[in-house]
Amino acid sequence: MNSLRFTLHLFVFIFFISACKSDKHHFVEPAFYYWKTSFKLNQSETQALQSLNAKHLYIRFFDVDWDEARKKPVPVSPTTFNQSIPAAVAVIPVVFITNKTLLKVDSAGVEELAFNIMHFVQKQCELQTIQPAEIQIDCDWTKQTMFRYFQLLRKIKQHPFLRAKKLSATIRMHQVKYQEITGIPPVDKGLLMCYNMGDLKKYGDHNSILDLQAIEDFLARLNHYPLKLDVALPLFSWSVLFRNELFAGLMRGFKNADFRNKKYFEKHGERLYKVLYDVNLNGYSLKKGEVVRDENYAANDVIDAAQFCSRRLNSDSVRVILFHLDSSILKNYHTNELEKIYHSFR
Amino acid sequence: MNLKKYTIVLGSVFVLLTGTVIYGIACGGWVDPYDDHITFYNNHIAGDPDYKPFYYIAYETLYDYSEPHDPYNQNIAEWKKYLGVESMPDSAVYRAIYTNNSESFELIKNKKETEWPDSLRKNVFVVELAKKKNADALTYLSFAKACEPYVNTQYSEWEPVKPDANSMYALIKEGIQQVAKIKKDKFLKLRYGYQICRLAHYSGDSEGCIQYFDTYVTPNQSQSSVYYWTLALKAGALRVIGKYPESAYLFSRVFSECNNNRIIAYQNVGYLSVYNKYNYKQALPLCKNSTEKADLLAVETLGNSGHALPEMKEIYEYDAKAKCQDVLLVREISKLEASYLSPKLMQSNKKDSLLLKATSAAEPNYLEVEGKYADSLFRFCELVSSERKVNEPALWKISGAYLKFMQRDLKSAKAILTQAESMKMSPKVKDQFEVLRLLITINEQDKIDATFEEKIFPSLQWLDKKRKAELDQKTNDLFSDVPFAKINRYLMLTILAPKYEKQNDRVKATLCYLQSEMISEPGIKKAEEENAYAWQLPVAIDYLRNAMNAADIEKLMQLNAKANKTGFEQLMTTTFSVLGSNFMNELQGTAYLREHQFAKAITAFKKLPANYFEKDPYKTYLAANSFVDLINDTHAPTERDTKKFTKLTFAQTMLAFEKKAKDDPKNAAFCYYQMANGFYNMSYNGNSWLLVNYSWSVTDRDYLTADLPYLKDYFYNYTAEKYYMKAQKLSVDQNFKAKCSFMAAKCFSSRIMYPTVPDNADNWMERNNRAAERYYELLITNKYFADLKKNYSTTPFYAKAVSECSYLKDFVSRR
Repeated sequence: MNSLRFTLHLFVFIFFISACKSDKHHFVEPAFYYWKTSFKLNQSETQALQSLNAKHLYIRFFDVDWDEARKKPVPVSPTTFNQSIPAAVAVIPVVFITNKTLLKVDSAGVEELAFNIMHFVQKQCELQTIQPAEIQIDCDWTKQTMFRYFQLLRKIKQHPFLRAKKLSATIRMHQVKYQEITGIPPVDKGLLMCYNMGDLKKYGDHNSILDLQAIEDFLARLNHYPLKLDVALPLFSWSVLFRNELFAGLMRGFKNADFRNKKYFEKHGERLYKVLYDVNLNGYSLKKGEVVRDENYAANDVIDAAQFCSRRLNSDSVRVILFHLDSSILKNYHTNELEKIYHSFR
Repeated sequence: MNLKKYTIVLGSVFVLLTGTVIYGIACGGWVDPYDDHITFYNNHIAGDPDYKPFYYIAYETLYDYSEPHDPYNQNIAEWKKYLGVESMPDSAVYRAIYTNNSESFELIKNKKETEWPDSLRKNVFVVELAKKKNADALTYLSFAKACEPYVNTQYSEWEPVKPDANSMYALIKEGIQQVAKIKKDKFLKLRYGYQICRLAHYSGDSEGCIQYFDTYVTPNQSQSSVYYWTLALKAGALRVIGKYPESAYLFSRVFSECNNNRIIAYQNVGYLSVYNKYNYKQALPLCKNSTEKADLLAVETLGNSGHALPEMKEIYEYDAKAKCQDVLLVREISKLEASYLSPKLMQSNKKDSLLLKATSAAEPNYLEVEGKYADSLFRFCELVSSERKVNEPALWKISGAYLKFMQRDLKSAKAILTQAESMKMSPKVKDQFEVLRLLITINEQDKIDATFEEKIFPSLQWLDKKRKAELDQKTNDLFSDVPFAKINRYLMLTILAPKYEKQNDRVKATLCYLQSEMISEPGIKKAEEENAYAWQLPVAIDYLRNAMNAADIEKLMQLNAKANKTGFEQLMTTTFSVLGSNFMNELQGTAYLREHQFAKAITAFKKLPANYFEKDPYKTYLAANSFVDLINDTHAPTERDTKKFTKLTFAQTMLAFEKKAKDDPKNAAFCYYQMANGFYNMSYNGNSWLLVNYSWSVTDRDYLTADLPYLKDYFYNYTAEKYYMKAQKLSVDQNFKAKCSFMAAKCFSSRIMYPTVPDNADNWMERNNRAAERYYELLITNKYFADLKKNYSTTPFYAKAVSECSYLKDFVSRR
């Protein structure tokens, strides 16, 4: 009887030990995204970089979209640089490409597009005296556009300006979950975008920006992803307006406390609020019957997401990028909260 | 067969989608002219050259993308006047100001003349600039050169742009300092102001640009182009900061007053309207007087591709003498020519094989709307001409007459023209008056005879002179800036030629088509050398080849050879007489071949040079054995092409067989069989179609526009079938008879048409599948197949035919 009990305890102990996932430790490089069309850091943004020791800044250089009239890809809203880059900061140029561009462009156009993108990036780097060690391409590609996108990435990689530099690509969560279908991009490393995970325009009680349940579902096999990954986490939030359960727009500047005003709002779910009377709030005109989905979240939610990812990342080091460096967003966080997000990976 | 149908469908879709009148213009050789619609109106009658970029043209934003007045020349003239050197050559001033760089100006300023390079020493303007009295001017030009690299940049969307704002601001400060040093010289002060504003604008300092203008340019306002160039910069800066009405107002002033910067002003008003949702009513309060209001509305109206009469009326209210009014009138006339006159004329000419019809304009409702608009415009023309407030009332009167002509109201058109006769007319308006008079005279005439021809001859000659003067200057782009050539073209094509055709006078119709072509005499000679008549004279050559029979061609050649031609005949054979004799002899011989008049064909072909048929297209497309009897037709070479025939040797061979059949009855069957092969191979299905036709296309049968008797045999092989049967009847050789039957079967099947499936049928695929099945059934059900099986199934040829012809095989295996 004693030996049986001992064996049972042993099994339970072993089971307990194996069931616990040990926290993984990584060398962390804090970083930010900069996603405005005009580059100029104000004091609080500069301070954030310094206090968080964020030495890497991912700056959107331009978007690429398909021009239907001219039947070719074109650069859209290139960022203007109204200030030189701080000396202590290493810039990673980012180019966002719409999926539509990849659907429309043909194989000859891909070669030209790769050249044009790299030409622009190179020239802009020369003008702004940026010597990047990495260049990033941001695209939410699909199964349909996978071939063309990967072809583009290969052509970009061949450009002389990429010599001795890394090429990275953003990886969205669905591309981790369905990696057999959407493929692994031919790049040196990926950036896991741990946000915008839900269907923004779909009516429902989910948080389309950050949802831990969705993270757990989509990233269950994160540790099997065959590419070295950095991680991007969100800081921004918005409120989504619905009219007759149809998407009617985004609103900014609302806090959770605003929706707890029972004079105007009635809670209809975890984050859904029905508008009770016509009212003008924060510059928005809300009508009776409309529904707002509050997509605010706390720093702890981001930390939870960070910890989940950290446990499943295989590499020793990781760059953690917060989206994005904007004082109007940063003012919603204490510095130590942001530090805790980075620390979740250490 | 499905491929053929798909080709037809795709071809139809192309025709429907273009919706454009392309009047018999072949592809290639020149840019498709977008302002090519039927016209009898000189669209250069008003506003030439100042407003030429803004004449009406479909599918383009501007009629002409170059400013009619060169801004460089204006600036050069101002500098020459300023320095008192008006006799100096413009080229010296141009080189001095525009081709020298900053370093050159430093040399001029700081070094002695003897130390300059040759290019500076030999430039009289540079020598003048270097004189002490012109020190300030030299300092200014040196400064302007220093500014140049910052403001003269090429735009490419894939190049990041970064203005060097710091350096540009330093230059602005330097410019301001220089202005302060100049006491009274407004010429230089204005120019410094221009450079300062330009630097501010292109460095992104829009507010600065506006302030600098008010400080440094407004006090030095003049009629100089430089003032208006700077005003345009201020207007642009206002647009950047969101002051749209102010921006539009200033652009309208630039448009009105500066004749070398209109295009950019016009385009910006357009952008304000489209992108910034600007409405001219917002800018009206800024206008100082009614003339400015008229100018403001006119700039925008020049870009209106629809009915602009309401705006024209408003402009007229503001200022009857507004500069753009006449141009706006001409635009409306051009629009109606495209949307109303052209489709109406085309519709009335149902047999016209030379046009692709604009399907949208064929809608009767659409024409009714346009007709009503023409009416409204006519009434406005009458009002304006009667009030006599505009610069030239006669222009409006005559335009009204033309509108009546468009509506086919010849009586009213004539009456209005008579009223216009006593009005004062400028030369261009007088010319238009004459054109309209000629037009009405011809349209009124029911039948054209020699007397009438002599009556209209002087007017036609006058028109032809004007046409030649325009075309003889052109080496390319024959459709631009040739208003009288176009008027002549459409008079010939749409008025005179149809009248002759109605009278069954194809000879005179041909001459009209030849006279309508947009080509000069040197051009025709060049076309002969390059064997490019069909490209350069597309309408006329097509008519000659596809509408004229041998007798017509004979008459045409006799008319041309006539010793005592009338004045009219002399004029109308001008283009024809430049056509080379080789072309005509081949044409004549081919016409005879089509009619099986082999002896006459031989006479014509013998006039050609011996090596005539050695070059392409004959080298490639008349390279098969024209007497071969293939089981399966092909245009590709076969191993049986051991001998080939030219048009001449073919005709000789056919004639020889014809003679032999009569002279040697024992071999008559063989001779008729060979002739049948000849007839078959010169058909659409045969390997030598180039004997009697000039092109071949898979859609020829479905888009047939010609109407000559030879086409019956060309497509349906009746004569070939007849001769195969003649041969069969005369022979006793079963194998030979089997061949005759099979060849006759091919003739029979050439008449089987693919059942029609409407292109817009909802269930097109299903219907087309059924049509394909039906077509197959018809091909199998060939009376000669039955004959072959019944009477010749034991012959060697039968076995061969069954194994090589799938239709026969299917027929045999079915029964």
